[in-house]
Amino acid sequence: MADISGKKQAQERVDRIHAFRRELDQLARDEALILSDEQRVRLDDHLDKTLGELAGRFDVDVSESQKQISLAMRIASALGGLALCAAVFLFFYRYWGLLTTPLQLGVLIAIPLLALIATELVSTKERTLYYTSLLALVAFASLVLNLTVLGTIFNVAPTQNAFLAWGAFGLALAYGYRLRLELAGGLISLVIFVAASITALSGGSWDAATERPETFLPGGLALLAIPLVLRHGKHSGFPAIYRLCGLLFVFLALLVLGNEGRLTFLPFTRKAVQGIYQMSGFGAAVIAIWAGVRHRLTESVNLGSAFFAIYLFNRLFVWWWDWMPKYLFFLIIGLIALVLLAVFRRLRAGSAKMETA
Amino acid sequence: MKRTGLVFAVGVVLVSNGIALIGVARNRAGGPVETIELTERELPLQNTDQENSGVGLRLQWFGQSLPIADIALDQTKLEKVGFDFRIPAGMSGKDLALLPRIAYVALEYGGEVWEQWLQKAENERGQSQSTVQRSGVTGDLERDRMTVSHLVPVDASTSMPDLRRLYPDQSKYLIVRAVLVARLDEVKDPITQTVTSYNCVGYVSEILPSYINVPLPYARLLSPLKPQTGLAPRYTVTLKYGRNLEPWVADVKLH
Repeated sequence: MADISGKKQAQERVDRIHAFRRELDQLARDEALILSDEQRVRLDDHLDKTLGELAGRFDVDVSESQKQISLAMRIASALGGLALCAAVFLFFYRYWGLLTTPLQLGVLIAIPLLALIATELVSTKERTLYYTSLLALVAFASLVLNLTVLGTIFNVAPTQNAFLAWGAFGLALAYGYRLRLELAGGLISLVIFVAASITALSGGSWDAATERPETFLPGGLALLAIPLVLRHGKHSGFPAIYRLCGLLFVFLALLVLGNEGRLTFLPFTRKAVQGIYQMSGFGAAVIAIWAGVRHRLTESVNLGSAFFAIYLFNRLFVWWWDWMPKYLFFLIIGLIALVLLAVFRRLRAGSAKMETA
Repeated sequence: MKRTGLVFAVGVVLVSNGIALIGVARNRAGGPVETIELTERELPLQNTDQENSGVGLRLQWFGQSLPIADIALDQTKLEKVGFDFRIPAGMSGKDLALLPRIAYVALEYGGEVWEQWLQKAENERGQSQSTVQRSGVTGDLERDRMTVSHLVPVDASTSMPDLRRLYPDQSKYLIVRAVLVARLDEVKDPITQTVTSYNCVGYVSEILPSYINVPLPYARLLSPLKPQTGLAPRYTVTLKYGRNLEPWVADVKLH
């Protein structure tokens, strides 16, 4: 087990063991492979011991029911975290008018620090990280509240720099406690910071970044590049979050620019800009699917396929909706969906062949 | 790693708060650069409810977010703050999406422009959908003087000292940082409906900051009041602006 460094890998090994056992039973029923009683006992002992060790070391789910309960716990943890964040916000707003400015300031700084201490204490007591994740989410929301209200109290004009602080804080929580939700929060904040800074450097108001969606492309592309250059040995689930966030920013920016060519830095006509970004959108989706299939990146394949379909239907809607009878429009959409299914089926078959090879 | 993460996270909290507070201290160091007294017309109460115990005011100016060429900023002023109205070859004015820009704006308090508008409103009284009406002016001179904000944006620049040199009277001109929005409006031939030219239109879309927090003890004076419109002002607020043009409430007087 020396080669297993993270919970994700441990869970994959557990799943493989379960699949192996099911297949062994099937082979025995088909009389294709029948182990002697002694072999079976030795094998079962070994597998049970391995499962026990994995469960003890990584707290993985060793049964299907445990897996389902874990999923429910993750959902409860995320929802509970969000509800606690709302409680912190609303509680502060309900009473802050009764406090003097120094007291307001003290409370605002103390809340994220207390939430951090609670996160640290809980993380030492549990291996599953459900409560840790919940408290870390509260800490993250508390810093958002802290900097937002600090600006309000002293009438400071908002700047993009707060996103840098939130991004750094999210990353510190994510890497410190192996939390994926906080990683996503941190990465999104950093991409917004980069986009707003580019907008401000180009002479615009920083909060007008959405009026130049190109400003989100460098941050999005950087997130895609990071897993290629940075190894995440102990955080095996993190590269998927980087790719997911990066692809989302890139695909959304290309989608907006493909429809609104005015919102660009490029010195071309609106139609030319829209054409460039429509082609880029399709190209990016195809690359994401191809790279996902090749390197077994589920999130890349799923998101690439979803956006390929969105780009396609968006174009068809723009071109045909106004002049085509509606039944014909939907008929064509249905036929295109069938063609896409055939293409994906071929892709799937190709992928299976590659796996076998 | 866990300990490093904790230390780094604590560091982010302390450093970000430290930087913000240094900014606040720098703003207020050396006393205010501008002091002005405004009434409820210019600083109406922000809507509050049981869920929010804070008291806040919103800085309101005349013709807020209205692209009215003759009270807003003309092409020369807009170009001075960086708006480029040139239409690249092969494009139309409609294709030009100018980014909002942050600039210094001089707000005149109850000056000539404001009086002209009141007069115009009285002349156009009764005409529905006139630009005057959209600006919130009713045409009832006495009432408008009492209820409509007296602050009018009259000039913009990328340099605060330049603007102060042009408008040195601090009791009449307030200089603030603001977000400006500009665009090209088509001018069409009334008969053929073809575009003959473009009008450069620009206006203040937001004053930075427009929400002004009222701290204790002044908040106690204002908290019993409910937001109102179209009535005589009930209070006067003394606002002081620091080096970063960030204001704070220095006094509140109930009428």
